Amino acid sequence: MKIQTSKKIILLLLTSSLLILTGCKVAFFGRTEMERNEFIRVVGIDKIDEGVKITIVTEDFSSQKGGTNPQKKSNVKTAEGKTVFEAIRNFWSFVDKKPFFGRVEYLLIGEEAAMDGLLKYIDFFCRDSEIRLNLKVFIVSEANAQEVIAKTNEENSFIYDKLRGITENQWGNSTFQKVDLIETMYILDCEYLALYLPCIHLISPKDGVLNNSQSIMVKGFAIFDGDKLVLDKHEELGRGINWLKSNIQSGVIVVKSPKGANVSLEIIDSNTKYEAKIIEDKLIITVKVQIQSSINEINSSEDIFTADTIKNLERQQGDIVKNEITKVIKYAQKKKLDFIGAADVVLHKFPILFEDLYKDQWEEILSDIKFDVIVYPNIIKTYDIREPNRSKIGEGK
Amino acid sequence: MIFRRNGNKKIKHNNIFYDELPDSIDAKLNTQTIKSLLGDGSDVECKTIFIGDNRLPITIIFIDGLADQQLISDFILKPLMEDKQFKEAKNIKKVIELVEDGYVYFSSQEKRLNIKDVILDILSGNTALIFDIENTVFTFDTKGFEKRAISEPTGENIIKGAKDSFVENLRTNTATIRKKLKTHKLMIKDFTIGKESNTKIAIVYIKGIGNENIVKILKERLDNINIDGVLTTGVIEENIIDNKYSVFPQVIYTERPDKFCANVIEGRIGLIIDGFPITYIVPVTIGSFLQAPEDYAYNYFVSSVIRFLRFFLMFTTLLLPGFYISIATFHHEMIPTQLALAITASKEGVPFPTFVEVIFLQIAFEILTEAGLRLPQNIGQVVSIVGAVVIGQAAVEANLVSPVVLIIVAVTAISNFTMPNQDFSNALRVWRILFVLLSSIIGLFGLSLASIILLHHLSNMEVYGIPYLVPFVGEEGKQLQDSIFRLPFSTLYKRPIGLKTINKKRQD
Repeated sequence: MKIQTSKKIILLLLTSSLLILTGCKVAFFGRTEMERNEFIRVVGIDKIDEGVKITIVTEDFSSQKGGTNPQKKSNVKTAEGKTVFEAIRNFWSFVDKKPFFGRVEYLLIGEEAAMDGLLKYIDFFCRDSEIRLNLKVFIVSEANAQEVIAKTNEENSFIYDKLRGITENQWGNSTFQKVDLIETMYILDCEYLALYLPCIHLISPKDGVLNNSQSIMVKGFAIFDGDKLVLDKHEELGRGINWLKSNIQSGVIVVKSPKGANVSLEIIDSNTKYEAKIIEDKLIITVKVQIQSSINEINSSEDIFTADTIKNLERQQGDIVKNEITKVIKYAQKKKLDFIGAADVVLHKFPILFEDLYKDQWEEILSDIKFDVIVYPNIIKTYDIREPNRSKIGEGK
Repeated sequence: MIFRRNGNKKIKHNNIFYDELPDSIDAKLNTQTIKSLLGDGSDVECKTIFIGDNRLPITIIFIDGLADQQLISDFILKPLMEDKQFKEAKNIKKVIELVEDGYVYFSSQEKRLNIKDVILDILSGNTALIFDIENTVFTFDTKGFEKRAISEPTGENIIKGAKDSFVENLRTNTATIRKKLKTHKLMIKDFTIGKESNTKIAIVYIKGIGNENIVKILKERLDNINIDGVLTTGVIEENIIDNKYSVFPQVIYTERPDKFCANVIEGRIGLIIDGFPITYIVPVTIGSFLQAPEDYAYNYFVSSVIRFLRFFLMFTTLLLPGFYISIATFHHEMIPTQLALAITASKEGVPFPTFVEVIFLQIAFEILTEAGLRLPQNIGQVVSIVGAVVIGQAAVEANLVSPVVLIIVAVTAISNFTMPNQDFSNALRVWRILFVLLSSIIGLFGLSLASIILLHHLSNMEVYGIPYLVPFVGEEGKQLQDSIFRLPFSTLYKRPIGLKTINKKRQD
């Protein structure tokens, strides 16, 4: 009995050893104290003449004594190399702590690098085990990443915090959508889909911030042909793409009252559905968008809470949304870049046909598809249902 | 051979004391023999009295302090000296007849034919009446030594429940149990253990409920105990458990009669040791060590939440330091960034690696706990204050440890204190060392390995034929109503399956 137990223990230890000692170098020698790591939160990638320039933004807490009253601090460091990996390893030469990329949350890619081709710049991030694949990728519009980081990372306001705030609050306008590295990898792997990444713009003080520092704004998407950035302005396409991707969480649509005053509608819910059909060998995709919104502001004293007026407002809202969607579809068809995901719709509806006929010539087929956009606007909430101030005494009528 | 099985030992009689006394048949039952066996102890009172008109000699022997002299005077000496029948007795034979007929007003008297019994009786506080001429001895139960009154339990205080506790006197304890379990099926069987101490032990169970096989095994184990004295409970405990090389407790000790009786009713076997206010309950499994008496006093929902919390805290006290070492030194990426940054900031300036910090604080904490236990109560409090100040504030300010490690060790310790059973709590403390060491070497792999070893160890343990992990393994898995949660009493209609009780139902 005892012998059996001993054998069991030995067997257990051997089995455990086999599991544990796989990659034993990491297991046994992988011990690192946390404070010896440099917590990198944002990485910028820029193209330079002889390779690549990596800019890292670190986050740290420093305290005077034993952890009391820690102060947040951030450092920006750059290194260059022929490849991304070489540039990253070059940090080892001059930083006092081990650069740890496991906490990178934002990857900013300079416009020039994006135009040069994304793959060679993100391959390291896709391959390295330390890096999380859910980090968010942004394209820096009309600037390089280092410039954006340098101009916006301040002593008390880190670019990481700004990016986090912007991405967390993006639902308010739905003008862009964060795209993870893993999603980027998936789209790049898919031969018929085109990549789209949110765009960062550097904004000057006059654009809204009161201090002298510069800030950033994320608006719209950068569209890629393969792994190369298409040089066009597509800021206005932001919400249109989100309508098509069913990513709209909220947003403001301004319509006109019967007397021409502005009325602000808040999108409170939306849903987009696709229907693909083939009629006389022609592919037709119907995009059905359902919107639910509320009236949040009326810039006059007129009473708009009548059935006719509400219907009129809904019609205007529907037209605006339809216009935003149509613009995006037209752009996609013109550029023959399927960043709207039409191929997925057809693939799911006609999988065999797609594999046999459409897949190899999808770019050509995309431009010939007939898109029918149907919007179902619905104003369901008016918050304060009362008529506007002074509407009863006739002002505004 | 390193491991020797108990079964190979030659079984001896449970009472070695008997073996050292002269053979009962040959020895004469007279004063001289008894006195010579008892020795010249100053507390041995021996007096010859002459009764009746014929001045018939009778010797009375008892141990001063053990026997109640008032009882002896009023109920033995007074009838002998004053009763008319005794006065008129013509010879010793007549006196013996009268004693046998009950003319000494004593309900608990025995005619002893064996010198060993006489000696044991006297040493237990009885009084011996020796008739040298006839070689006859009567013993009277005059036990009357000082005993502690029944008081509130000191180690198992509860708010909503009985406030009585066991005392050092076996008979008082059996009476307390009888008072709570007024059933004729309650069996109390006495044993004597200890060559020199002759300690009485009583096995308590309910006939028709308690498993007779377990009673038999327990008796055998008690019979096999070969020791000079039972002056600590460990002597008994070590000999009645199955796995002597495990730190995990295999018996429950309690000073609460209600807990004792509840377990006996459930089908377990109780053990009372004379001289200790602690009783034992067998067989018990891991689930029992996480149950507290109050679980059954409060609302079942409240009790269930507390019970669940206790299970959670069991894992906390066992795994938390190891887990912290693992993630802080091997798997940083598991820690949310903001928390990681806070930990990093708190560790600034601390010269030791995390595992050294944890081990250092654990040792310091164990030292403080030990010091607090050994010192008198008032000074013990001072130690805890000094400990808190020194370990807590000073160590952090001196950058010897980081505040996070301090919190981890404190949470671990406090979680440990919530365990209802001190033995179980100690077992977790010991196993925690393994978890810390293996985590220090290979991180979460080490933690997993330690968990596997612990699970293997516990899976291999059996207590009186019952798997130690009951009710979480085997058929007992069906009876989880009183395990992680405590469901209403209406659902607890069956006794634990593992106990293999004769009557399996609690409620009809």
